[in-house]
Amino acid sequence: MSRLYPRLLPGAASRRFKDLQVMGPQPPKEGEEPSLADAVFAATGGTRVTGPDLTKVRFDLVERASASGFPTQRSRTGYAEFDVSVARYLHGACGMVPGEAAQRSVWSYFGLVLVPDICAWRYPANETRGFLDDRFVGADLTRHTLGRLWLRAHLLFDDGVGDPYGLIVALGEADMDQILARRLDVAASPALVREIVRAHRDDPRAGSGPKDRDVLRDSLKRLLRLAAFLDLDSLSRHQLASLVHEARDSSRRTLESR
Amino acid sequence: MTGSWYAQRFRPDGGITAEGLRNQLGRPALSLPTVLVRESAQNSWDAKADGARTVDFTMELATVGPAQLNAWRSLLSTGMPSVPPEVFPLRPALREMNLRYLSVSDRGTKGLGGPTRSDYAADAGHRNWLSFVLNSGEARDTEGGGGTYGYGKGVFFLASAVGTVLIYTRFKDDAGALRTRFIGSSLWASYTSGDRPFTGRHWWGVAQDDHCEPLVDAAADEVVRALGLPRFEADETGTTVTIIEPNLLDPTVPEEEAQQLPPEEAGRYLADAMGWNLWPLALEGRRRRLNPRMVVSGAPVAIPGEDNDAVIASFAAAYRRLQTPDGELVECKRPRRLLARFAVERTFGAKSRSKAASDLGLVDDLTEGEAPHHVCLMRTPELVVRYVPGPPAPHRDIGYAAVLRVEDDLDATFAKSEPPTHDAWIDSQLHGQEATFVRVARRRTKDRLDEIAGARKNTIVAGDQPVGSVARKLGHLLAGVSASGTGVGGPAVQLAAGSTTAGGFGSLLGGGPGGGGGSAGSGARAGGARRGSGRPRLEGLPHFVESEGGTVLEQRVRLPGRGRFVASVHVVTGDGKLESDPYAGAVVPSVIGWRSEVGTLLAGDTVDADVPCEVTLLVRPVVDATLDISVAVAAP
Amino acid sequence: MSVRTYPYRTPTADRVVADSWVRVSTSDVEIFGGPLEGWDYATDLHLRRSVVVDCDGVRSDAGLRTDIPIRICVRSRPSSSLIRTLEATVPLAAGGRQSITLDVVVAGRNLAGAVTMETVLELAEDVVEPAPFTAARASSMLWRDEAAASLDGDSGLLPVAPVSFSAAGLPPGAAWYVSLDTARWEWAAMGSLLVLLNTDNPAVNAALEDPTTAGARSLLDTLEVDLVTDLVGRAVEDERFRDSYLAAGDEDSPDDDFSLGSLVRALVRVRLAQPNESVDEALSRLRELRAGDPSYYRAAVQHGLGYPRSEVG
Repeated sequence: MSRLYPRLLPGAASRRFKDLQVMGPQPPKEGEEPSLADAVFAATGGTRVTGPDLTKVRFDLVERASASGFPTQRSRTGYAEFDVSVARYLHGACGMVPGEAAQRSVWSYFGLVLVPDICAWRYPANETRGFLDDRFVGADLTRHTLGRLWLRAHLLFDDGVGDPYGLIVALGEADMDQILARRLDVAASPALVREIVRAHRDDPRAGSGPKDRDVLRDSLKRLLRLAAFLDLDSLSRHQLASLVHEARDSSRRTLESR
Repeated sequence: MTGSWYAQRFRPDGGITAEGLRNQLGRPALSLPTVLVRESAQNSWDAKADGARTVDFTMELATVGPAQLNAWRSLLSTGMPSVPPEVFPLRPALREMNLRYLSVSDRGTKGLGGPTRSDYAADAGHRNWLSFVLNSGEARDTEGGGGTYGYGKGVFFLASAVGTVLIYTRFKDDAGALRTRFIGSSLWASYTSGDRPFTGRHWWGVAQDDHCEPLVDAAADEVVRALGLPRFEADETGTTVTIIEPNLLDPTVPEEEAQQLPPEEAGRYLADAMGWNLWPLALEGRRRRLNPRMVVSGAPVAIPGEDNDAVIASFAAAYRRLQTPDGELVECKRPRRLLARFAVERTFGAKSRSKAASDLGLVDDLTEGEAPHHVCLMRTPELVVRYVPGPPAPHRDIGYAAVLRVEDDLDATFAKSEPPTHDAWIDSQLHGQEATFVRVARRRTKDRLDEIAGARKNTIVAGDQPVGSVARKLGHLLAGVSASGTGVGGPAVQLAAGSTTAGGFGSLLGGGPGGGGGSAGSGARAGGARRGSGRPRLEGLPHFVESEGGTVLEQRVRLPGRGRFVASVHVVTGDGKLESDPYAGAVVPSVIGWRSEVGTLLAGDTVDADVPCEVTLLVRPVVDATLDISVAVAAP
Repeated sequence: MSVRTYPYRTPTADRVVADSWVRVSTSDVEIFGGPLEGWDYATDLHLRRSVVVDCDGVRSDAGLRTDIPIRICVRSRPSSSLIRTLEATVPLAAGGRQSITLDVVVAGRNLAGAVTMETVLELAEDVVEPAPFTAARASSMLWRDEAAASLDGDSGLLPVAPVSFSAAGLPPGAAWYVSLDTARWEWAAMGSLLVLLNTDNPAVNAALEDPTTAGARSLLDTLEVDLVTDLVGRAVEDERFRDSYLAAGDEDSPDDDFSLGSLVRALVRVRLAQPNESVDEALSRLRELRAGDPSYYRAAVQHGLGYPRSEVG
């Protein structure tokens, strides 16, 4: 049975984001349950999480963040560890059905009520613009601090292998963002995303010739053209793999010749 | 001078028997070692000396060494009443080779001064000896004292398997001089000897006709030295009560089956009991604090506390929060009165496993341990009154540690509600407003715990039947407040996202391949609506035609009249957008040119017209690339 | 203006004739396209449509040899996650006109927002030695259409959860329980109000199965009146509600904050207030009524809601 998470409606989300810009993150007080003021739940379709459930989720997230340096240390490797462990956690342990996790307003609640401190640690304010709203407010699943991690895990979830989240570590943040940015086409087909990541991870020619990242990006552009007229969802894993390899081989050849 | 035993006779006007005194404590809900720790520590805390920052509270469990054994036997046998062991069990105990004792010492306390006989008047500040050694049941006169009953000391006798304790104290007399006193005291059973009834109370000291005086100063110090008991350093004051043959049964098994705990385990238990019952007084940073210590056969045993026990640390954190703005006020509405302050600390993974914590109701499963779900009740003396359980949190590893502290001005009220063992608040012992205050505090605390545990209701798990249609039928009730945004997928943000994608690549393909189904064709229709507007119009769909130079795409175009028109062709990517950043070495499509109605070919992407006419646009297609072909009025 | 074209020939529009999708549910059949009344995560979408394909015509228009296998695929795509799911694959190996019925069940758990159903006619396999600019890669789309439906309309859904009362420790024979979880009036109504329906109760279960029967409608009408009686009654009794929502004094201020308190005011304004009576006046009147004659108060709510709403039969 699915768990229904609280949602922050857009009005409340933008109000809280303004507060965040002025006052910094205001996480739930120690010992208090995350506030459900302003929060709404889906009318039907599952079991509402309780205050203690939310406290537990917050604790789990803080624990994972702390293991990666939260709240004081910020490092590229810390962030990468955080992304991987939280992606697994959100997708595997929170009991959200994909429909619920795709609700932007759920992520607004996470970003602005449940763990604003972690989001602010992961994406600190920059000097000119302060905090970036799409890291806190759930407007774009590929941009939200936690929503993007859920999406990443969901796309890469590989049922039937030893560790179904094994592919999460295969790509760095920047590379994964390249894929996530193509949501309407490439990333709309999880099976294709998995083949792209697998091929990148397992490329025997990695490290020689053109930069791995350039091969990935260039091949993505090739796949983008194909996605305009192929029904990628009806292809078998093997067919997808050969599409991806074909694109990578072509890209590698072209890049090598330059 | 040395001492001897004095047996108390019944006076003509009666007197209380040893059994009566022993029973005054009642039958505590807590185990004897726990009660011993609580009561003796409370006695010590109440006796803190003016100006002392720290009260050292030490329990030492030891066996009388061979060097001292003879002294114990000879001194304590002197003047022993000739009665059977059932009424004076110390006699056989002294013959034991392993004579154990537990000494309970406090330092930084006042010591037991004042008159040594109860028929002499003494004012409030001078009754320490009397109330501790001779009298019982009299009200405390200490500000902020832990109890209103003088039963605290009764526990020492209960804790001795032979009903016997030795009391050694040092205090400052009115002249400011340091004085010591030593007396033994035994409390077991009343009896008749030689036709004379005895109360069963005995003292070991300087026996007089009608009472017993303590050994004092050098004589007292000499006896203590000979017995090898804890002494006083420098100008310390305080009291050491030594319990002979302490009764330390394993409290976790039923009394009938319980064995004496081995010394290490007994010491561990007492140390834990100190931690769990005394932590509020032991917190660092207090203005005046209690420093508990446990020693077993000369070796110290660690006391659990804020630094080394996660659960106590959580309670301590809640306690520290009481006086901050995070502390919640527990109020009575009618009459309006601030009753107490409440604070809570959530715990994760912290579990109690000690037997002493189990005795206090903090843990049921000693093997697995248990996350706390309790509120610690305390009042002015800041000893733990009791841990009251609330509902457990729904997850094993989650818990909460709460503290409820009664306001100082209600201390007396709540103290009155406590039984002699100070381990509960019972409003039935009170009347009127006082009963209301205790009841309200208890109820509000319970409500809070339910809330914290998320146990307002039972955990309710929704089934998997679809109920949307019912929700919909009843939805009209929300008419006033349910703008889009309250339904499952409602918020405006999502609707916007939805409309973007609903019109994604598929419908943009417009008059493309096969014309699509009912939803396709938007491009062509949009063009139709613009008929006659002075813009060029694409007629029909492009089609592939074989020609000498290879395959070309032909598209019929109606030019609206005089003007210059420009054609462009782009690759479309999977997201329905025009390709802006092709892959390396990508082939891109190009416009070949225009073919007029009469068949002449004009190369290049622009064409001029004088009158409305129909032309054919020729485009060079690209393998594996969906194309977007457009024609527009050229910029002047 | 612009047109778009796949990089290969495609059949003309008349080669594929497809009916609309219809939604198949226990009680009736409806055309897929409008808002899907009463959908939730636990509701799987059972959809059906028939498609007639002129297989020979398709192949000849597209420049494909007659032995090239083609197929029809159906995929779904929620507007929330945009992640597509393949729902059905139907091979069309033979020539001639083929009539097929597409029957798919789209899992509710993946959906939210709106759902788009795409039907695609495509190559089933790679083509060996294709002619120039004819479809060559497996899954090249020759024809497609799409239909979308919003999963929830503009009007609200009352928060409802099906619960086994015996398991939840609620009175096991009851029909429902109105849970005002925190009684914090200023919190969002959709967060703090929840009606629990007892799935152990046969009548409730039957109403959940098919809320359109006469029995179900009458049950729900009763629930409605019970809910409003309860909600408004608790509000007018509660000093916290009166402090924040009654003595507001600003009768004109819109109740637009989605709070539980505003819901009560809205219910009173729309259903329970008498002509020319302000919301505040109505609330005061209802409070006095409830205190003085609770039965009359209930009757007033029944009147306001037009209970029973359903026509008899």
